[in-house]
Amino acid sequence: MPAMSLRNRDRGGGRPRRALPAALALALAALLAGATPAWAAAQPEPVNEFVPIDELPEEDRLPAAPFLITAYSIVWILAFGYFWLLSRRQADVERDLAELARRRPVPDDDDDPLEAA
Amino acid sequence: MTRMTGRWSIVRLAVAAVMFAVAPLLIAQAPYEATMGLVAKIVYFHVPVWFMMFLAIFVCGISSGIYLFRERPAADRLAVSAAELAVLFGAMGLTTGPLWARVSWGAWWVWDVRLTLALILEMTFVAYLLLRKYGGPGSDKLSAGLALFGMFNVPIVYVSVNVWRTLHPSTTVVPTLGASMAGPFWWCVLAFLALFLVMLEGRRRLADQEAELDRLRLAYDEEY
Amino acid sequence: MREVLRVAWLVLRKDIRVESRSREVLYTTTFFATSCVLVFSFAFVRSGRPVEGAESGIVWVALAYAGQLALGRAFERELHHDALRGLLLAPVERGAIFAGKLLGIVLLMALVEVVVVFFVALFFSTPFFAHPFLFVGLLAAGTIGFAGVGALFAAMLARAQSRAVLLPVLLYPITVPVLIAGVNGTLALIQADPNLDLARFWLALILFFDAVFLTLAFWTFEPLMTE
Repeated sequence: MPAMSLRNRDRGGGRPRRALPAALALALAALLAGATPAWAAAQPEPVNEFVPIDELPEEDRLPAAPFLITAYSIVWILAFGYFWLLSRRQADVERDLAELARRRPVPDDDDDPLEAA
Repeated sequence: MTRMTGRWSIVRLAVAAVMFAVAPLLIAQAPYEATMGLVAKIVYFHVPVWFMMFLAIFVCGISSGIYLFRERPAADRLAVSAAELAVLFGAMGLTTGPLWARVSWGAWWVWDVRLTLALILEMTFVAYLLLRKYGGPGSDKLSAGLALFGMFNVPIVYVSVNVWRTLHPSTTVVPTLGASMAGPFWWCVLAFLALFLVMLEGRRRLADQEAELDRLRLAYDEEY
Repeated sequence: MREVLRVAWLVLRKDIRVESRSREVLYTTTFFATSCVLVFSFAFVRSGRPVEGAESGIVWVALAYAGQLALGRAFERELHHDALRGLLLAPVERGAIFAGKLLGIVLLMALVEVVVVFFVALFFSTPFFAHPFLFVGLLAAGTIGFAGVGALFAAMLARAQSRAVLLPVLLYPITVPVLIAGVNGTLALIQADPNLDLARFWLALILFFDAVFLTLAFWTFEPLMTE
């Protein structure tokens, strides 16, 4: 009957949904484990000495532009990110202050807060 | 309060405009650095950012001292703001530095004196922020002590890392600037200084407002 | 001045008396330091030989970890029955109390150091005492600097939340010069061709650090411990 079949469907639907995050985690772990050797191999070799760029052979020099652009972008992102964080906190504080002012008028400094209003 | 925000956003916009004007100016105009080529243009951001971190550390240290010995709450609010900026500009420096080092020296981290010093100072002021966040009541005084110690530590760490470094085979990453690059460089320093001052002022105002909010909440709690 | 020394001695005597009853901090810290030495030995030994210069690093890092642990425990003890507040309410100069606690911690760390140096010398046949005065000087100066900053921070944090994890977070960045100087000074002494001038330079640096930070610690102890 309808109620029982709904329950069965519900139970069946619940199990795969619970298993999904676990399956995703396992897949990710397997991917990382498989990819790690490749990633490790792709790392640049450790340098024992530091060679100034004018002594490096042409083919070893990295193209500088992506690094330069990344550097500038990071500075911009951090600076504007901070501004955004500040304005968000500012908005929260102003909202709370407005809320307090709405509930009661702002008390004067010379009012005794213990006096009955 | 809306007036304060309004004024602040105008200044902020002005600063952003200055910075926007700066970037293409230096990229286009400045000559290529002889040994390092294009990548040395990171120095126009990397070094001013480092200056700002230093400035933030000293503002934080000095206002922490004032808070500890004169017990002025405004000094504490300035100290927190400066500490956040020290961490922010430190993060900028610690990301642009390795990017430069990777191209110039082939390694992400070269134990350069200033980079290492920046890392240690960054950790000190991240510790400051952690202490303020998780230390509970009384952490304002404790973090003031930490900031004071951190400030006094700067020359000592510099000397110890410098001597330690000379025992290792590496050379300094920061070149000396040629005359033709000095103009855009100092322009950038001023632009970052303007940015720093705007951020400091904005953060300090936020701290003031949060303190006011706390004061009001306490006042209302007392009445009920 | 005499009063300061007298009070410091009283605080030190009290700490020694309390510790000698249970010896808990001494035993646990010493054992912890020894396990550090063991762990680092596994990390830094390649085919039976230590990585060059690892011995000095092992000694100092083991001391840093063990010292931080001891600092936390030493001040945690003061929380029972509000003993810390009792100390602070005493009509004596606060700096004297700090001095007494500092001396107690230095003494404890000195005992731990004896054990650590013994084991490292045993495991790696390190000639630590080829130049005994410089070596002991480095250890002593380094311990005083580390303990000075550590005692201040531990006292500050004694009543704070998350104090166990915050102490190392605050302590290590500040005491980096002590670690750099200690490790490299010791290295200059134990290497095949000892460089005594370099070791003396590092010792001088630690002493400078001690002077600056002990002064700062005494100066700020009062305002920091005021509620």
